[in-house]
Amino acid sequence: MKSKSVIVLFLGNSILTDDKIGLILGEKLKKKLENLGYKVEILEKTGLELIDYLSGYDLAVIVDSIKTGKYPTGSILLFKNTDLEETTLFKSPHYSGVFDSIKLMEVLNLNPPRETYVLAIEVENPYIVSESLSPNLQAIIPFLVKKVFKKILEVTENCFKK
Amino acid sequence: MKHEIIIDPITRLEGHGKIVIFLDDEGNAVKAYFQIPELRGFEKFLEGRPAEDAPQITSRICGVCPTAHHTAATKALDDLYKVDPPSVAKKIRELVYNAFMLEDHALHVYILGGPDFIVGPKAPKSERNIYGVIKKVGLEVGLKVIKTRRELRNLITAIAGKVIHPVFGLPGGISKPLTEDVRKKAIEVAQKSLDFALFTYKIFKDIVLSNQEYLDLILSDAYTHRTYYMGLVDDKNRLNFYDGKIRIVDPKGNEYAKFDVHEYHQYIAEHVEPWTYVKFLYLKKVGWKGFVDGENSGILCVAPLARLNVADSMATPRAQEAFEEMFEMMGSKPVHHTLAMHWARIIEMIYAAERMIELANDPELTDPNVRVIPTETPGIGMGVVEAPRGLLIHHYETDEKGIIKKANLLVATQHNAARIALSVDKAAKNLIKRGNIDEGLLNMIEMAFRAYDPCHACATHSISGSMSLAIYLYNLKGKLIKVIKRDK
Repeated sequence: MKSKSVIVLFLGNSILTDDKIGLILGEKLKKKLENLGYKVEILEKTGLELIDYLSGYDLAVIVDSIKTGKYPTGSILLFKNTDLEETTLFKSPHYSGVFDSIKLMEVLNLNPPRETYVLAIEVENPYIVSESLSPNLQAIIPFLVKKVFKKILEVTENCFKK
Repeated sequence: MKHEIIIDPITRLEGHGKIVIFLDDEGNAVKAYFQIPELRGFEKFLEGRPAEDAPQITSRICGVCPTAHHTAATKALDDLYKVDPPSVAKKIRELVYNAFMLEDHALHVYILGGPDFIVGPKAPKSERNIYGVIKKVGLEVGLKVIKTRRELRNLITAIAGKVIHPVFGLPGGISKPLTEDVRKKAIEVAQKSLDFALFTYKIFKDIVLSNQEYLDLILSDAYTHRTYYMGLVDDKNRLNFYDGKIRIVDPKGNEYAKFDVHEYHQYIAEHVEPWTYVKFLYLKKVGWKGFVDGENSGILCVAPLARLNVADSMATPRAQEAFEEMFEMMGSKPVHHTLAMHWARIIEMIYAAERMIELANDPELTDPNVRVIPTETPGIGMGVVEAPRGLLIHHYETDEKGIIKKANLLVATQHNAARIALSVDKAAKNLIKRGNIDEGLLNMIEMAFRAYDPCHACATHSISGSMSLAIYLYNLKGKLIKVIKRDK
């Protein structure tokens, strides 16, 4: 496995209730992933700021929160950039979502990742100002740590099988 | 009223918002509302927290203008603890602040608001974005934007610790002195940034100012309001982003007031409406007269155009040239045309870069005495800066241990909210006639608010593929008749 060319970004906002889940998972998984040769960044950043982090890798895995309202709290949704391009490009209110940034990297020849996946954790409340997670999400952190770790390994393995 | 059009979410602004337009029987727009459906409550969240946490907490309101909140909060802490930072600390803060203003304005010019003009207000939606800008002005411009913003942000990181949420502001100064290496880097980055700002101004002149159709749009009544203007000025009434007195001019350009931030209560009041969470700030003594402009209405305007309208001049030479050029070409001061906000923003980019050069070349910048340790008992503290989107005031009241009992944040978009509502309403009424509604027209209505670069502190996580613009037509009974969606 060419682990040196994989970057895992854990994203979130530390004071927007469940939006910090990515940051918490990052803290818990950083060493473990780094020991396997992954580059890991825990960031409170979005959009265009991600360009500098994503450049030059074969694979990028982004762990963040999501609220669809369609799945139980803690569900992990997996998206691939090419699957979502048509439905997500230009849809961020800032016009600067993750996939917008990757598209921009392609247009500007800024060496985007060959593949990008988003592991999105379904949460209850990513909008209200609070440093605490919702109780239901807090209760399943150990489960999420294991599950997200496993998913990252799976995604990497599948990517490098090709 | 016959029909209702909803634009939700409106696009290319910082945060979420919604526009609802009502049409009469003939299909003419009779009323448009600009709604902010979000409620955050950061002021409540601050209560019970140590005041020194405020620069870190408030900078997380949004990932776009954290440095503005960080700096306003830090200045409020200076005031709270009654401590005057050493001049080197003020200069370093101002250097960081100007770097932030420049990169934030660049974001708006090239990605948020600029595409409306650079690509064209009626261009297909798929082209009215950064990619369309690149297509129009060249790949190297896109690379230049990314590179300049990166260099500015790296500089902020080198000085302020973190770029998204700076950590260097402390009551009485900053956390660490500047090294000579960083100062030299700052000079280099500032010079390149000036080149970039002047290049941006040239693009604006070539593409926008030389196009009569665009000029007519800027000057059109649909985008014009005669309101009061408010901004920070230095002791010579020149624009300053970091510090100074708050100056207000009336719709004729006469000075209405000039005051210290501690007096803001005497001049600014809040009005609320039941259909939105945003508080509409207005001039207390003039009064709230509804959503109307003119000398008798307390509606005011902040942000780049307002700053230039209240300033007598610019403090740096190239920005002064551009300042004179704008007012000469517009033929009057103040300029009341909302879309001239884009022009003013680019002039401010030039000023920010020139001010960075001045500050970075100051030999005092590497003085190691960057902080005065506070010794006084805290009580009340207020800080003010010019955020990219306009005047930002932080006001904290604490107990004797520095625990916040009350916080009040007056943000730029609140100052502008009434004028934005006015702009959206007027643009809709002027542009939607006889049911003639297409996407280009709706974009031109959105342009009315986009010029202000409003920030509603968004936290969207939706990648469900939902459309970013949809029009809902209702009859009087509220029954949905038709839905028009934008192309994928």
